Amino acid sequence: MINRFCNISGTAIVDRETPVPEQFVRHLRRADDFINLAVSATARALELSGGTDVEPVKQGVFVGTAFGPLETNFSSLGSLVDEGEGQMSPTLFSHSVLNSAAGYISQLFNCHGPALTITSYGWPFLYALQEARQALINGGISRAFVIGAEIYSALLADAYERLFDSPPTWSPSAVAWVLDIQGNGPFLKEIRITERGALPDNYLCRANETWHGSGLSAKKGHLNPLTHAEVMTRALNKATKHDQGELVWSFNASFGEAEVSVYLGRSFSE
Amino acid sequence: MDISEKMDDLKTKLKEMVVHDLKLSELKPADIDDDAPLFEEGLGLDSLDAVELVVLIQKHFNVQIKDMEEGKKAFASINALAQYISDQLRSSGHELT
Amino acid sequence: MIRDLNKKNVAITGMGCISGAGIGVAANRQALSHGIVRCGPVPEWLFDNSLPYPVFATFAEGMTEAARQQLAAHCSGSVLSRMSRTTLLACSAVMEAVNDAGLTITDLRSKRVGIAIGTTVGCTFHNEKYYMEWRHGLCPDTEPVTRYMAGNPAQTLHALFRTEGPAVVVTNACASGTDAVGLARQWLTAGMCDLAIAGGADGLSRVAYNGFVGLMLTDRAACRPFSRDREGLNLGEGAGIMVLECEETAVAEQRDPLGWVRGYGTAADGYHPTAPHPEGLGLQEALRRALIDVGGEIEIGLVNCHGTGTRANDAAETAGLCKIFGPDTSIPFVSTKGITGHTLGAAGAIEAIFTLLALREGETRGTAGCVEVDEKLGVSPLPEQRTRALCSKWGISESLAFGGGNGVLVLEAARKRSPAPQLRAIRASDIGRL
Repeated sequence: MINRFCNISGTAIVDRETPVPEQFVRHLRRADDFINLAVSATARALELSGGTDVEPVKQGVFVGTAFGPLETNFSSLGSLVDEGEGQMSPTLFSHSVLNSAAGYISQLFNCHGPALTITSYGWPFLYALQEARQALINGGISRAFVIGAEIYSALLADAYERLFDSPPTWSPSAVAWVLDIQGNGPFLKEIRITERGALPDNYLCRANETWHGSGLSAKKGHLNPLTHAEVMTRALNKATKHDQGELVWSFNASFGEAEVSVYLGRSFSE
Repeated sequence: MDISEKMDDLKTKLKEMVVHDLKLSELKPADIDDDAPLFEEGLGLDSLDAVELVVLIQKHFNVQIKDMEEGKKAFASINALAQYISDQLRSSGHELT
Repeated sequence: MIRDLNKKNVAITGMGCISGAGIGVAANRQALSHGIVRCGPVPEWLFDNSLPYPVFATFAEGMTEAARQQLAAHCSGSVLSRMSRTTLLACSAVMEAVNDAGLTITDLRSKRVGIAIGTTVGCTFHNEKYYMEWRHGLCPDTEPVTRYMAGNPAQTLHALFRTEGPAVVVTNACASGTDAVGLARQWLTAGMCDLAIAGGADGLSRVAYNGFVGLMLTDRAACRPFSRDREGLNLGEGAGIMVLECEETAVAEQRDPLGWVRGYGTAADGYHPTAPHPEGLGLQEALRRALIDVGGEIEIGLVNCHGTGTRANDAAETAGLCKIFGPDTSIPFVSTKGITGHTLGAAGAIEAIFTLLALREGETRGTAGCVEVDEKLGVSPLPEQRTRALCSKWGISESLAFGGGNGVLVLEAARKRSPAPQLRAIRASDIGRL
């Protein structure tokens, strides 16, 4: 079944070079990189979607992340060790929780519908996308901001290098998709994810992770918990200009498999 | 330094702390009025800044604000905060430095 | 068609619970019905602490012997050996829930199992020793990092059971447990799994403890939700797990529902990183969504509130409830955090279980710790000294969170299984540990 409910209206990939939108600077005074990246990606995707305003209770936020605000977690750990019991910075602690970005986005983008943060070492963005799609289909919202954000940490990179004898292929980055109930496509048709448990090291180095399908490409060996979101975003942007029909992407890893399909606009309108 | 110079010095430190540690980067410490309210309509600080200030004041001045009832009085303005800190130090037998 | 999907009934066929109030659902029920408050200083075996704020701890091992034996017999030993405290607590509750449903680990392997676990600190890196050594330029052994990567309770449970299906950890701060149950219900209605293990788990951690102290949200005495003299929350730890299935599966395989998840709603305040909206705006919207989701007229017999005991939460939450139910409603509003403390990511799931227990009993006790209700609150919760018979089998369990998240579950209890379930006795050795 083709569903009309999940129009992919805008997408964005940002890194730390992307400036935070001017109008949010004051609101983001306490924000860390995790929040800033997620906000920048959302703002960019919304701008590109060209969407009209949606009633606040009809907008939802869906964040998927593997590591969340890990640097702030370490800063608050440091604050506890350095300042002593009961003297940990409340700002750092409250910004070290994994749903910090979802909280800021719901505030800054006026989303008074659902705000969900999902943590997974596998394909966190896919889960966020899936829950957003479900919420749109169920009619609870008419717009979803779906965000994948990772900032990693120097501590984790050091451990990675010592465990696998090579540095990790990651750098702070965020991906955002705006999904709308209306539009001319492309349409998010289906997402299926099956996980099975894997060894901890496999979640970190993502050995044997592969993907194939329409237009998916990546730098060789470039594997991190956001790669799946980035390659889908690029494939989507490449395809929508001239292609028609359906994009089908599949992902395989030691921890499971997933399949995503997208109908391109033109074929749907026929 | 006499007592009024020490108080001025303390207020300057407090303003620098507020701007720097509460990340009010668009403000200059000297722009903060001694009598202006720190919260809401004044500098626009909120409940999270309030608890952060409690930790900061313990850290920088070794003065404990034990609850928010006390905090509300102390955080009325820079003047009120400076007075609160100097009173607390004096009552525990310490001097402003 | 979409309506039909929503109408699919999701039954609760098993429950498991561990908290400072007791090990197992029966022990928790006993503590609830007798108003037993087991909070105390942070135990030595948990972490070093000299601050005076009490907690509701479980026991040092974190996993019950019963759960450990079953897991050791059927599961991966390497996974079992490096589980976090949060996952150990989760396993205690998961095994109780699976057994309560009359299922075995082998049964699970023949199904597509969805696992949704809410947690706050359960999947963060809190190893201070590793962090300090690394910060000083040393090369600490990477075992704690491997442990961190094994710390996602949902993925770890799949690895442990060798099951397949969707797996997420919901990290919506203090509403995580509620949202995990709501999310798993959506998986079932959308046909994404045959059975779901859903709930929340959180172990007490030094970081969260000091974080809440720094936020000036903790009480030096046992917490007093809704009370005029309330001064904050007490942290707790534990896990609450439900086995959820579509009703037709449960009936076909002859498992009696204990109750049903009939509605779920979630909405954001979009207001502030830590403070709730003073009018409980997001909560109101979440309540509306959950009641609409039920899809019919119902009479609510009980609202099990978030009721942490902080000044701000209890005021905002009751303000929101007043807008939905009116100031003079006869619905009993209670909080059970006086019995368990605030178990963070586990709270919503533990409280959903408590809600169902009360609905099945047809009676609720008042809020432990609340003797004199704060008359400034939007509604008037049931104080400690009162007990109320419930007028219906329908109830609400709700959570409010940092970041402005709000989650609401509407639950319906089934009539009691006959013969009535036996109280499983708490073993003397378990009481000694509490």
